[in-house]
Amino acid sequence: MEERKTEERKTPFLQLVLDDFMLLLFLGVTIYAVSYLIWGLIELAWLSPIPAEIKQELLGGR
Amino acid sequence: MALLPPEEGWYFKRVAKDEKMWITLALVVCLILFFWMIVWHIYGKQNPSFTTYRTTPEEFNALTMAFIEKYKVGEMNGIPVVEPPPNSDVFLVGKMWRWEPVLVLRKGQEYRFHISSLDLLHGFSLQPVNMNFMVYPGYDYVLTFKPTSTGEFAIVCNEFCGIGHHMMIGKIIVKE
Repeated sequence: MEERKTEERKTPFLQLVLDDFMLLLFLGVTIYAVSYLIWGLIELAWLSPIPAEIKQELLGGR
Repeated sequence: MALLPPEEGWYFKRVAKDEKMWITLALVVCLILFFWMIVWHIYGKQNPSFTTYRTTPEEFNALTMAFIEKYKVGEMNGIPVVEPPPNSDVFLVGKMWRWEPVLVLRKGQEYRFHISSLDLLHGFSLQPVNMNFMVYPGYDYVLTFKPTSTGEFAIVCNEFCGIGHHMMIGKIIVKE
């Protein structure tokens, strides 16, 4: 009875993910590399310089 | 026997009531702690909103020197003392091993602090208020400050920056 039950029900997708340790390793590295490292680098690359008005006020024509 | 794989179809077995309760409690605690970070940002004055600009130590030093020249009112132990007008841009530079300049501010007025370093990583720690920020060379960290009480406040460097790190103490004087 129990064997028939397990045959009819498919393994849940998340369980398949948790069973694949190489995939888990990949996800463990990739998720943090993207969300911390790459996002951080993108934010740094998009920084703008000090606004010209502020520089103009202090340095004038220099 | 944890070395053996679990029996087939173990994930279809019913979860016991106490395990469900344990998972629920742990999840609730995690969610509370997660959203508490937002509460601390709004009500606890932690993780303040800020702006960052890209700069160079040379450029920031030139801006700070010009700022000091414009608003200098005196000197204290060889460090210039400046009194900028309210609602203006205030430049504060950290370098081995001093904070420059000494700032004289007015209570209840807002100032936009531009903080950067000329050499290596320093830490801006305003005493005795619980405010701490990292100060990097090459980045201008802009924060809006509003002094809420008068007195003299020390700025302590809380990122180890060398042999004179413990002497790197700046000052903010707040007047009525």
